[in-house]
Amino acid sequence: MNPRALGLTLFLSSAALVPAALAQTVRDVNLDLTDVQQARVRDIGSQLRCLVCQGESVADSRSPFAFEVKRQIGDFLKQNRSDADIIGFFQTRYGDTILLEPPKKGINWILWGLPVIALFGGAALWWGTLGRKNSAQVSPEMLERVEQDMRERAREEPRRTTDSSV
Amino acid sequence: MNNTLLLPQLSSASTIGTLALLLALGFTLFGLVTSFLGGRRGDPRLAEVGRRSSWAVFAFMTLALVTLERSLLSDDFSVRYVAEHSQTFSPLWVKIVTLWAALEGSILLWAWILSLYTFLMSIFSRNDALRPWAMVAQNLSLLFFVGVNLTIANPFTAVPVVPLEGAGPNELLQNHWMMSVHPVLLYLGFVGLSVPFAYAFAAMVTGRVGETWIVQTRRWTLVTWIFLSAAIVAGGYWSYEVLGWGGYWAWDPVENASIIPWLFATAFLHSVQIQERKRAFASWNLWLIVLAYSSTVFGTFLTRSGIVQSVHAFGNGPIGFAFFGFFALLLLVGVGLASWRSSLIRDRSEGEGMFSREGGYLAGNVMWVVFAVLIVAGTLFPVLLEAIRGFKTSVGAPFFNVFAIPLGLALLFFMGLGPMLTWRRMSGESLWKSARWPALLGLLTSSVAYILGIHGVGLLLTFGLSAFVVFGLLSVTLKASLERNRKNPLSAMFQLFTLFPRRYGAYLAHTGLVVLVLGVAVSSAYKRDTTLNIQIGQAKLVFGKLINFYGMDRQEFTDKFQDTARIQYGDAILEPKLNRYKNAARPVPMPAVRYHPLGDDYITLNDFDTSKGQWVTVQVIDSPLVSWIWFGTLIMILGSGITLISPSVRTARVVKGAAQAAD
Amino acid sequence: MNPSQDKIQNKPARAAWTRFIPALVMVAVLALLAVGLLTQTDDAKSVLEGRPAPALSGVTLEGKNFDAALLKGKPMVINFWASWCDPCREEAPLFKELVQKYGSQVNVVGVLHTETSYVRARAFAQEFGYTFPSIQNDDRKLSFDFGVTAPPETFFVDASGMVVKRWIGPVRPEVMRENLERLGVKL
Repeated sequence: MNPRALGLTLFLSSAALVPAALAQTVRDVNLDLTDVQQARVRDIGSQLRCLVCQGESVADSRSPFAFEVKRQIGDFLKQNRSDADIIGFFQTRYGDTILLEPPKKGINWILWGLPVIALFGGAALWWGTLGRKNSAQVSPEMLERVEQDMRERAREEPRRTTDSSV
Repeated sequence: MNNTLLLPQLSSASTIGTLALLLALGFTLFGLVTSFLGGRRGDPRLAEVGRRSSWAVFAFMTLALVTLERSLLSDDFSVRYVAEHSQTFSPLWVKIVTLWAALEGSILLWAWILSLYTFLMSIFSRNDALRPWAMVAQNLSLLFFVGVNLTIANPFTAVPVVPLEGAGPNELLQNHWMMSVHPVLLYLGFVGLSVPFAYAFAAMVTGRVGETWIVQTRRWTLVTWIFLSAAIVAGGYWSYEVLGWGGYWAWDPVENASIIPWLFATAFLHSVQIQERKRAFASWNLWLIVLAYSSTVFGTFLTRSGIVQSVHAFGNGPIGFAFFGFFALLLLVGVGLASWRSSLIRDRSEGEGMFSREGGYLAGNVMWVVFAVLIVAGTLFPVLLEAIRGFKTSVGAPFFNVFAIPLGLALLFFMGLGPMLTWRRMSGESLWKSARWPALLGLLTSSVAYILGIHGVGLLLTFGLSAFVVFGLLSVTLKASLERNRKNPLSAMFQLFTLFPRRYGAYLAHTGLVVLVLGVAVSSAYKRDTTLNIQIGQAKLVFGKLINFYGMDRQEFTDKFQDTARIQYGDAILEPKLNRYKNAARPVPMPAVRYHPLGDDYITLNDFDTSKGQWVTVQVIDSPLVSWIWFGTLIMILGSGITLISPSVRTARVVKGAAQAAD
Repeated sequence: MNPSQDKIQNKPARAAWTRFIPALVMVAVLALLAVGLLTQTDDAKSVLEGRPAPALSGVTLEGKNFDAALLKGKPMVINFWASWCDPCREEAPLFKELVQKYGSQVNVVGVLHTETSYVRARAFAQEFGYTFPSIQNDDRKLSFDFGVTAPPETFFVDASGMVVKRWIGPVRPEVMRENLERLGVKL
């Protein structure tokens, strides 16, 4: 990565250190929530990106920033705010960069569209490679002759320099 | 950055190492030129010289590797790599694995494996028109990797002032024994793809794009694929045991980069069988192997260039540009050759119907490739966004799961259909006749699952399709056994196993994959996790079991402090730990995992009372069927290994005949 | 007549331009990677830049109430810090100097970010001779409102209340100078 980014990341990781004795308040997160609420925290957290980590979600990250966000989510849940509300809260303040899933708008349609295009392209390729559905009937004798012909060619093939078919 | 020329007397290891690399590079160039000329002029003596220089390359690369390893084990801090990544008080195994714990050493390992494969290729490959050109391709790759090792990523740079103590490895890389296994397996897999690529290169250059190059490399491809599969799952296992959130796959860009070659390799593995038997899909296979090998370089480029955000990323500076250059060259050469030769290949279409084995294999292939495109798109999209909009972003599980799940289900379906399809053409009715029972049993399985309370569509389809695959394999095997010996089908079945190891090994491998998929599906859907605080002696109820905390222990090792919590969960004692390495800032958790066939007990130590040891904060995770992932992989590897035993009789005869005619 | 030609159909030749699809895809991917290698994003760019600064109010370390809304008309420098934060110690002298030299032209406010002990915070402020107020920010509301991830972070706000620049990490002298100039401070 560019040196600046590396420096920044290293700095942020070290800056985010909390001595173990003081960690008590940072890590005892959301212990008073019900299991259902904790699951919701995890769910919402898995849609948010940990900004001081390298590509981890807030749910998975063990950084202090992630803990703070999770704690705030917990607080919001106690106030009965909706998932969309909570995500919107962070999005307004940190920008789209905090979202783990690019919202389906604008340029992001390229991302969502590419696999679909690939699928259609692949299907077209499949269709084209297989050849048109053969409507003519092929007799068993014909098949027999063809297979024999193929076997002869298999024996001859290495002598040729290209696989030219007739 | 290469100081060895200034101060050779201060570090003999630096000198020897750099010299070894220099000689390896020299012989690589020499081998490249002689193989090229040998191939071009059809001169067997030149080709032989080229072939033998690969032995010298291997010898010198081994010397370089051994030198670095020796420096690590003897704490020779005059070598910069050792000073920056090793320390005197690490245990022996950590010092050994530090060889590949950082950039320069990992490239050295990659280059060494490449030289090993080239050496093996030169010994075991048949002496034909393809070999010199295959050597050319390998030497080109070697030129790059050894060249990088000599210039911008030199592990043997000397340190002018030798420190007394080194900085030590990253704490995550000295924490778990997987560090000694996963990277090596991964490189063996990645680099292994270079051999089929080299042969494809040779085939395209010489024009012999028939099945000769495929047959030559079948075993290579298979062995490589096995290493790659094992490596990827090993990585997942490592994540599971170490990261503390009970997960094994995060759709991290570097993880994605490792699975892209696997996807292409799997497609390649299957479609070469078509080319072997039916001489079709020749150009498709050329494209696949070009993509497969290029994607390994793409993967290593992503890991080391820093253009994507990843927990696995390391490396910076000119490395990214160097790998980009090589990747571009590889693509140019590969795509150029494949485009050129594709137009010369005219696959004979015998009017395969849609319902044919060719059709089924091709459909499966298309799915694998679409899967690869999906992952490339998701992995590179942040790069695009950053270039255009100027802020960093990540694409994660939410995006990938939307497409990966349907694709996975489609692949399961084709995997089930495959064995029931016949070559060339099949009528709809005969297909229904073969597929009738497995399909109905699959439907029955889904219904039973629904009745038992499982209502997720993805999960229901997974169960149904898994049953479809397994019963399909059973029915095909049963039918073949009955045909062989109506009175004693059981012995007939065993006879079939020994006669057709390739086919039945594949069936076993597919069954292993089904077990793996079931493990993934169920563990994702039903994972439960909770975080709680336990006071000493005060039991709580978690997931229907009693959990209690008995106290903390602290132990000092040469390289770390280890805090262990004694926790009773259900009727067993689990001991999750926190490792505080002496050279690291943050502690690394070591979750305690108890494996059961049906579900694991998993506890991570998040925090504890450092003053009096009276409480702990733990995360308890209940993950059903995770073991099936590891177990399924083992079955898959076993099955694939069986297919290595011997080619099917019919192909052997044809190939031998063709080979004898050619020699 | 070659029997193999009966009823065996050759694939119709693909349109010539389709040959270029793989090459085009390859060029696109390579171009994207090249651009990725060459761009360097400014990680510190905040969504707040160019927008009005969020409301800044709360109880300070000394126990007094503070409200930025009452201090209109002068540019403001807002520094998020914590006593446990090592890089904050690096930049602390700069802020003391800032108040000394330019306190008449610029308001300086501190905000504690995930501070664990006010005793330690006050000791820190005393050690570095801080004469500006620092808001306690117990509920971390200010941290989130300003989009702060970890201390130290510094916000430069102009006289009209618009955020001109957000700086992540310890402030260096030249950074301070440059941004003060942007705020219209006469150095």
